[in-house]
Amino acid sequence: MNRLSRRLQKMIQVGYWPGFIIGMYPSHFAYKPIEVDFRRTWQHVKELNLYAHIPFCKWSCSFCTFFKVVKDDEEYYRRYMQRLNEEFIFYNTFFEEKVNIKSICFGGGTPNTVSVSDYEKFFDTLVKSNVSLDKDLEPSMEISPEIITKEYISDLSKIGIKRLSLGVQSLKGELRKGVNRDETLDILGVIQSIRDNGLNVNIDLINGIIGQDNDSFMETLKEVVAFGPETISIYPLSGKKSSMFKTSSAIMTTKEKYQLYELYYDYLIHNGYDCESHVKFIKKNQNSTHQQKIYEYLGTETLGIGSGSRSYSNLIHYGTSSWEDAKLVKKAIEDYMTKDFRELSWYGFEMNEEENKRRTIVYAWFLGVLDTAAYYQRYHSSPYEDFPEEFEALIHNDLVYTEGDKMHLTTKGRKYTDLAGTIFWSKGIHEMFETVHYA
Amino acid sequence: MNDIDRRLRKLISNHANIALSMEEISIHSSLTDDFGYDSIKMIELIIDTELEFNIQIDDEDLDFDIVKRYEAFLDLVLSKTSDETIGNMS
Repeated sequence: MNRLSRRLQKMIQVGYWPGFIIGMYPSHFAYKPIEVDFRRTWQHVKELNLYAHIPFCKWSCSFCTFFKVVKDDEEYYRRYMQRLNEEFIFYNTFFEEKVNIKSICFGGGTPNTVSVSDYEKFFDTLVKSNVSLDKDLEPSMEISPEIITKEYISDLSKIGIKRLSLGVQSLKGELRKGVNRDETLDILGVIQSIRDNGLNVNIDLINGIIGQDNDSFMETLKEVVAFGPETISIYPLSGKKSSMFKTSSAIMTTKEKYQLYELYYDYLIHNGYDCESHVKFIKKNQNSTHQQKIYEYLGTETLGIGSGSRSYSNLIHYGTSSWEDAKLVKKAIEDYMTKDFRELSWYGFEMNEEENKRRTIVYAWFLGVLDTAAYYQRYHSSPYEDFPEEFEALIHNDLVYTEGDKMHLTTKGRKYTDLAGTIFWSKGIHEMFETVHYA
Repeated sequence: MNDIDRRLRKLISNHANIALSMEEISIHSSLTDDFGYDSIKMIELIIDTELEFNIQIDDEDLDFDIVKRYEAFLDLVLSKTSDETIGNMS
C-alpha cells in the first residue's frame, strides 16, 4: 500500500474532513497578488459562464465566510449595479468573437437586496453586447427568503430569472436563531410564490449547526422534500468548530457528519432524488440544477464580475478579495466603486497544464465520473499515467470503479468526495493549505 | 524515559510544525496548543505511530485528550503495545 493510500485509508477511518474548500480548485487560500492580462485571458473565449456577485447583506449570519458587507443603502446598491454594468462593458471589449453565455448566476451576499429594475438594466447591457444567450440558459439567483416579497418574485420572473436558490439552512427555529436567522420564516409562502410564477427552486441546508443532531436535521430535510424543490443542496458546516475530535456535545464531529450523510443520502435516493454531487441532490425526471457548477466541472470558463467575485479561465483564476486580508471587504468594495478596473488589487493563481489536469479530475469527482477519453482528448495523456499513486489510493480504498472509458465514484466514493479530490491537489497547494487549516 | 516514550517523542518532534526537541515535550504538553498540530498532522503522526509500534489506532481511541495532553497519547500507545504483546503470547 503506498503512503497516499494509507493516508487516505486513515482519513476515512477517523472521519477526517478538510472542509468544503474542494468546491473550487485551487481554493481561495492559494490566491496571491497578481497582474491580470485581461485581453490575453478573454480574447479567444467562445463560451462562458457569467457570475455576478452582490456583496450586500441586511445582517450577518454566524456561519457565513463569504465576501459581503452589512449595508442597507438603496442608493449605494444602485450605484454598485451601475458599476456592474460598466464592468461587463469593459470585459466585452476583449471578446474577439460573439461569446455564448451558457449560464448566469447572481450570488452574494444577498442578491435580493438590489431592485429588480437594476437587474433588468443589466440584462439590457448583455443583450447589447457581443454575446448570445444559450437556448438552455436558466438564469439563477441566490436569495434570502426572509426579505423577499411576492411582488419581487413576480418581477424577477418577468425579466427572465428562471431559478431561485433559497438559503434556508434549517427549519428549526432555535437552530435558525443560533445562526442569526429569522426564527419565524414562512418558507411555504415563499415557495408558493415561486411556483405561482413558474420558477424552479433550490433549497440550501446546513448540517452540523451547533445544537443540531441527526433527528433535527432529518426533520428539516423531510419538510423540505415535501416542498418538492428541483434541487436540495446540503453543506456540512466547516470552520474552526469542525473537528474529528468531540470537543462539545452540541457540535458534531466530522465523522458524525459523514454518518449523517449516509442517513440523508439513503432518504433522498428513496424519495425521488438522484445524487448529482455529494452536496447536491436533484429531483428525478427534470433538468433544473445549478448549471454554472456543472459547466465549470465540464471545463467552461467562468467570468466573475462584481466586487468579491472570482473568474476561472484556463490561464488564470482571479478576483478582488484577499484571503489574508478578509477584513478589507469595505475597502475592496469602495475601490470597485471608484477605480478603473485595471487598477484594482487583484489576487489569483496562474494556471498551467498540470494544475488544469488536477482541476479536471477534482471536478470530475463532483460529477461522480471521470471521462478518461475526454481527458486524453484534451491533454493527450492518460490520467492514470499522470497520477498513478492517486488512482491507486482511490482503487485501494474502494472509492471508484471503472466502466469502459469512465471511472465512477462508488457510493462510498460519493460520501468521501472531498477526500477523493484533495489527494489530487498539487504539492504547492497542500503546503499552502497547511498554513491556513483549522485544527 | 522508557524506550516507547523516547520513540514516540521522536515521532512527535519529526511531525511538529515547529522546531522541537524531544526534551521539550512534557507529559502536560498539548500537541495542538504547544506544537501546532492540526488534524492533518495528527493523521500523519497516527500513521507513523502505527508503523513504528506495529499497532492499530482506531477512531474509538481518538479522544480529544490525546491532542491536549502528551501523557494521554503515550498511555494510548503503551496500552496498544501491551495489547499487541498479550495478543502475540496468546
